Amino acid sequence: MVTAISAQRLAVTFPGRGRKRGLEALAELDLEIPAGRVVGVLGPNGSGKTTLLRVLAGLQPPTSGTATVLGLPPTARPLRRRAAYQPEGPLPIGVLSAPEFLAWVGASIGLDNRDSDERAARWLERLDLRHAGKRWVRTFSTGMQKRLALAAVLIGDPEVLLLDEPTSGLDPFGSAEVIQILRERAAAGTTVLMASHHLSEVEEICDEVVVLHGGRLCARGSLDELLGTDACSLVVKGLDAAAMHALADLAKSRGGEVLGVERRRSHLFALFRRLAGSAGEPHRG
Amino acid sequence: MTRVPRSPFALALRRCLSAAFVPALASGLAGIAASRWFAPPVAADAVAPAANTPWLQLPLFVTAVVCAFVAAAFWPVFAARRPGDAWIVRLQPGPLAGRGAVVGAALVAQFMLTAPVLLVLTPILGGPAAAAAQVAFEPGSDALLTEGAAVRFTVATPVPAVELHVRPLAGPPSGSLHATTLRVFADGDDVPLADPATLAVDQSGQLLRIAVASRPIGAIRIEAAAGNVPLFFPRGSVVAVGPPVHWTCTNAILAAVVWCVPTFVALAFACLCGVSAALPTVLGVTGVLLFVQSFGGVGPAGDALRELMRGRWLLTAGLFPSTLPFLAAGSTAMILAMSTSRFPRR
Repeated sequence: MVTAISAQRLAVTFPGRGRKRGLEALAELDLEIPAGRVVGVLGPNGSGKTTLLRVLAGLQPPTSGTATVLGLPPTARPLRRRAAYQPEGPLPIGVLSAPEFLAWVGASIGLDNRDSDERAARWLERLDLRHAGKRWVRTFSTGMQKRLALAAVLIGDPEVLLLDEPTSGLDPFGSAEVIQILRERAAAGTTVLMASHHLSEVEEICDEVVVLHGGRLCARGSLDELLGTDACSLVVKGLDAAAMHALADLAKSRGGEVLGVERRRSHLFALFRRLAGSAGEPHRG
Repeated sequence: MTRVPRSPFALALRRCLSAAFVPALASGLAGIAASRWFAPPVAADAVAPAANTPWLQLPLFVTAVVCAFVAAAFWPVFAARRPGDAWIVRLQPGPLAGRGAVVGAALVAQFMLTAPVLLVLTPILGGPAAAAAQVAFEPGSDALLTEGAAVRFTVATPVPAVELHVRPLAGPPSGSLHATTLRVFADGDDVPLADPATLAVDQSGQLLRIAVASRPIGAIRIEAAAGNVPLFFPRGSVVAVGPPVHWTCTNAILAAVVWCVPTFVALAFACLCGVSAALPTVLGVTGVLLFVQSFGGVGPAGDALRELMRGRWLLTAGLFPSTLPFLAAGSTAMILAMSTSRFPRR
């Protein structure tokens, strides 16, 4: 299988000032990500997730080790289009409208003007940003900025997506839309490496996860490998407490292990969708 | 949608023009109003358009500051730790990450706004309709200390002149004041005067405008005919004024070009200090550099407007050679900004 992203003994150390010691953001990291995989990068704050993405995006030179994206060094010019990076935080040039921002991104990655405009119109429609019109990007809500950032990284139809917290700041509808888009991109063969604190989303779309801590690789594998798949669970509805205990006894008698009997609430997202659906879809942003 | 600006240059140009248009217009009007209200008291027949130079400087300075500030704030990589700079560094190739294009856009925007301002304001503020080449005679300095003394000035090749400007500095007289009356000889010929009294000097910096028959002049001899005011002739105090053959509009455009130099220098140093400084510091440095070059007598900007108002053809005024050290300093700052960039080369 073709390797899309590769890192060998990758290390990044930020120099300390004065008597302060330098900060080791990444240490001896080895990573191979095959093309077409969706990989989540997990870890607590300061674990090196953003640094890893910045190195792969060509924004942070490694202190030692090497990294390649699509077989090229991260700073190679062809990667401006072939690999897209969505950093966390606000968009630059806040005094542009959404179409102008996408036109600048399209021109920067070498798209033909007409092609760029068609793609921009398609993504603005898809991400529900048409209504923003000529409003300046800096007046957008965080959610709108996130959606526009996603449109900007997708406009060039890249082979590799490097995403830093792509769903933070989005409402549940926005998150669901982003996840759906990432699924579609993955199905089309795009390699996705996304750092996120939203574990449920990572679980939902990632083929495998990389767990970092203190700049070091703690664990790596598919979700099945890491979470285990040998246990089956039964979720029932409509039984009273006595019937539930009877069911538990039956499970024990058949050699099963009952970990607990609990009342489960409905998923919060389901409630949100139900309420929003009954009141009409809320304005995004 | 295909007409949307896409390059950093086009985006920054549009932003600078839209942000600076109203300030340029308003400060131009303010300059006109101020020149009326604060007009210096001069004799009824005196012609002193250069006295209005500060009111011409006002709109140019305001436009330059707005264009420079807008450019620096518009493009995130002008300062360290700006939100969104990762987008710019990744998408904009080159060691300056688009800052060169943005500086160029700010300069073009400033020129597009200041050239019309100068074209309109120069005649309103009393500038001459035409500009003439002016050549200063050498040596740079000399003195007339006693009655009957004479000083001699020459140029390497005779220059066509229709007027001589003599602007000596005066010292304290030895007794009660008697204005020193001068006699002026051009290439040995006594210059005939309609009114000999016009060559009496009793004030320091007093300008004597002496009309001469249009002809090339190679040497000037000035003689103290009477009076007891000692006169000193610093460099540039004896000038031959050629026939006014250059349209003042062209001169105003040249002055607008010269005024781009301070902005270039300020933005170049902004690039350099933005390698590690945050936006407020970058804007502070930009503002100080613009102020010093506009009003502090550092650089050619102030001189350009004064010479424009005096009707001096700027191409022969030595202004453009004097911009070279500033252009060199700005270019050096840009090169240093490139080489000390915190961004990886792409």
